Amino acid sequence: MSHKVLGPFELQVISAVSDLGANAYGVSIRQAIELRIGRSVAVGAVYTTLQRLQAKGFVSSIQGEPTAVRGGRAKRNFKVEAAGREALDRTVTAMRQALGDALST
Amino acid sequence: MASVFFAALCAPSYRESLVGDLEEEFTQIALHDGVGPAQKWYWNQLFLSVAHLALSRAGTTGQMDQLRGFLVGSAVALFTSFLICWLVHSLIKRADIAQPLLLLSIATTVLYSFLSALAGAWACVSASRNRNYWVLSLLGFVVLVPLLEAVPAIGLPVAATLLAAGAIAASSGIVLGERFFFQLNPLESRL
Repeated sequence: MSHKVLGPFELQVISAVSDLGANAYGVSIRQAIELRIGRSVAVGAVYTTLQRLQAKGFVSSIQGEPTAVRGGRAKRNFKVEAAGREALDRTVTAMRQALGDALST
Repeated sequence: MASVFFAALCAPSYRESLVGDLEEEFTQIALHDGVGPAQKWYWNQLFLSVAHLALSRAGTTGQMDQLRGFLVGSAVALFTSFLICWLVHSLIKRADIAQPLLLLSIATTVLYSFLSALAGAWACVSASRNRNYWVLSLLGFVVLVPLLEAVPAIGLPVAATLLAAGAIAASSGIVLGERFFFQLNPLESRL
């Protein structure tokens, strides 16, 4: 298992997946990140990051049922795994430490 | 058209959900703001996503598979180029245009083959995961040089038509080659 901290965009994606819970899929994740950072986010960037996080075992996904509003295509719902939570905690701790160090100097 | 590019560039395991997401957001924007802004958003998403998706595909595909994709794509591009050139040549009856057009068509096709071979060779020897696509893009600009040199002889409209036909032939060839002949590596199959 990797002990590295998450990158800035990985952090945005994994925290959006965590916040959205059972409703975490491509559209909701992308919109949540856009709302948080206040600028347009490419769907390709979200999916390649999700693919990388899944390859690392930080998130898992499950394919849902096809719906008419999506042109008969299925959603893919994402969920943060235990390794992902650990990586998230590790990253937040590292960021707090860095902020603390910066503020104290 | 944009959906085809998205589907071709995306990893197969995510293809259905990504295209479905785009369809869902397109419908939301079309209902709220109209079809025009929705179409603009869709193309903007494609423009912003191409580099991410293409580099991700390059990074998760083996070098021999990249080479195979390029070679098959080049073969399809070559065939399509010949077909388009032959059609253009048959449709334009003016003798003063037809002759230089045919010569330029042959030159363009040969140049595409050369560039494809270079890109394939680079894909084979490159150890970097991202360099292949950047080099291919740079090589693509070389196509413009003989075409620009030929503009005074053949005229701007014919040159622009040839450039558009060449771009369509080459991109559709490479997309088809990648889509139908790329072998997925174990990482991508696992997802």
